[in-house]
Amino acid sequence: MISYALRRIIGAVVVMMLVSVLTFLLLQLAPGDAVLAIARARYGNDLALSPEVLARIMDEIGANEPFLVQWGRWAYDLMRLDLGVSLINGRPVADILVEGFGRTLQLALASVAIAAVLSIPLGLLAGVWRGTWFDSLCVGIATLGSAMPNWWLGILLIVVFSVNLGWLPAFGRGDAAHLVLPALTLGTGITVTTARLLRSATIEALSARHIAAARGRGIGETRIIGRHAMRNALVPVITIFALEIAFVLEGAVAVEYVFGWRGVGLMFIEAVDARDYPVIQAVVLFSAILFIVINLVVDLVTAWIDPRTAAGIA
Amino acid sequence: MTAFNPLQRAAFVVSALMLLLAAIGPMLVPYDPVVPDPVARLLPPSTEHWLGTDHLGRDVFSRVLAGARLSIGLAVLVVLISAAVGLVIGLAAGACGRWADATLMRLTDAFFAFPELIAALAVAGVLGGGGVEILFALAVVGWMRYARLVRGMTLATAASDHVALARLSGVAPLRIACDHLTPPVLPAMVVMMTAHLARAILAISGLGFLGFGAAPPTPEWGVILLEARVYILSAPVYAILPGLPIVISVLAFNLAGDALRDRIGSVVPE
Repeated sequence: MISYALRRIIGAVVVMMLVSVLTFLLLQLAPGDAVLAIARARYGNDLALSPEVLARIMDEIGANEPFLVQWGRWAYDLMRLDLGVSLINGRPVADILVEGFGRTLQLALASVAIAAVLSIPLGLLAGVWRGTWFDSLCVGIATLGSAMPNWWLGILLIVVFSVNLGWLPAFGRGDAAHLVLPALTLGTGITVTTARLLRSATIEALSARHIAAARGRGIGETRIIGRHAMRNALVPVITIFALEIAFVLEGAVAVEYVFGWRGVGLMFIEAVDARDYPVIQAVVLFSAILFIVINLVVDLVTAWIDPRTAAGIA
Repeated sequence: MTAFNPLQRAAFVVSALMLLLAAIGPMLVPYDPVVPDPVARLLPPSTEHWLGTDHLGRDVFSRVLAGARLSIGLAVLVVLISAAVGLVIGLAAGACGRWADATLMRLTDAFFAFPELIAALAVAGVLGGGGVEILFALAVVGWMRYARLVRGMTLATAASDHVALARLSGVAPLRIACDHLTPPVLPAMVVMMTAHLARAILAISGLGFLGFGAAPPTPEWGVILLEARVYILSAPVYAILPGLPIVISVLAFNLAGDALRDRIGSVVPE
C-alpha cells in the first residue's frame, strides 16, 4: 500500500510539472499582436496607441526576453504563489481567483446537492428494478439529458420559468432566487451522468456471487439490497461525486455565461476575450491541478478501502 | 450475433443523415442563409419559414441547414485528426519499448488533466477564434483517449508470436505497425470515434455560443443561438429551436456509439 501510494504521488507530481510547462507553452501560441491586443483591451479601440505605450506593455509582460528566461521567471513566481496581476485592471490574479472560485463554489454546492438528491435514489432504483418501465424511463431521460448542451437547457429554463411564468430571475446574482435556475441547470447535467453510473454500479453489485449466495440462504430482497449490495455500490458513488467536482467546474463556464453569474467560469471567458494572459494561465493551471489532486485522493482512498486496486487485481 | 434493435437502427439512420447534411446541407436551403431581409424580422414559424426568421429577417431553417456544414463537418475533422494523432502516439507507446511508453503516457496524462472545455477555450481564444482555430484547439484536447486505448491494445499485440516472427524475419517497423498492430485496434477506434463525434458537436456549438466560433454572418448552430439569445424575451422560439439539431445529432451519435460498443464488446471505456 505504501509503495503504491508513493508511486502514485510521484506520478502526480511529474504530471503537475508537465501541466505547468504546457500551460506556459499556451502563451507561445498567441499571435504576434498580443501586445496590441492588451493595449486595445486596456485603453479602448478608438485611441491612437503610441509606440511608447506599446513598448511599455512589452516590457511589462517581458515579451522581448528569451523564452527560457520567461519560463524560468514564471515558474519561480508560481512556486512562491505569486500569480502576477491582471493585464486589464491590474488586480492581483490570486484575488480574482479567490473571488471567482467563491462564487462558483456556491453554485457548485447547490448543483451537487440537487444532483445527490435526484441521482442517488433514481440510479439505485433503476439498477434494482432493471428492465422495468421505471428503469427504461430513467435511462431514456438520462440519454436525452446527456445529449443537451447545458447552456441550451439554461435558455430553455429561462424561457419557461422567467419569461413565461415569471417565477424566477434569469440573470445576475443577488438573493437565493437567483441561484435556483443556474443550479438546476448545472445540477441536471450532473444528475444525468451520476444516475447512469450509479445504475451500472448497482447492477454490478447485485450480480456479485455473494448476493446469489445470500439469495440462496433465503434472505429477503430488501435486506439483500440494503446490507449486501448497497455497500459495494457506494464505493463507486464516492468516486463519482469526487470526480464530478472537476466536471462541475467545466460545466459552470457556459452556465455562468448564460445566467450572468460572475464566478470563475464567466471571469475566465472575459479573460480569454480580453487576452488577459495571467488570468487565463492561472485558471487553466489550477483547474488541471485540481483535477490531478482529486484523482490522486480518489485513487488513494479507493486503494485504502479496497486493497485489491493497489495490487492491480480488481 | 443479435440484430440491432429499432432504436439503434434509427440512430444509425439519423447519424448517416446528419453526416449527409454536412456535405449537402448548404445546397438544400430554401432561402439565402446570409442575406438579410429587413421586412421579415423575427417572424414566428409558419409554412413559408418553418423555424421562423431571425433578427435580420433571415430564414432560420435555412441557416440551420447551412450551419450543418460547420457544426458537423468540423466535428468530423476534429475526430479524424484526433484519432490519427492518438493512433500514432498509442502505437509508439505500445511498441517502442518501456522508455517511449513511460514518456508518452506521462505526456498523455498531462494533456488529460486539463478540463476539455476550459483548455479548448483557452487555446481557441488565445489563437483568436474561428474555424481552423477551433479545429486545432479541439484536436489538442481530443487525442488522448485514442492514445490510451491504442497503447493498451498494442502492448498485447506487440508481445504476440506473429509480431515477434515478423520482426525476426526482418519486416520493417513501419510495415509491422501498419499490417500487424493497426488492424486489431480499428473496431474499438470506430466505436470511440462515434462517441467522440457527439462530444465534438457539443464542444463546437459550445465554443460558438461562447463567442469563439465562426464569425458572423457564417451560420453555425452555436453562433445562431448566441445571436438569438438577445431576443429571448421578444422571440423565445427563435432562441430555442435552433438548438434542436444539436440535441438530435448528439443523441443519434451517442446511441450509435453505444450500439457499436455492445456489438464489439466493452473494450472501449465510456
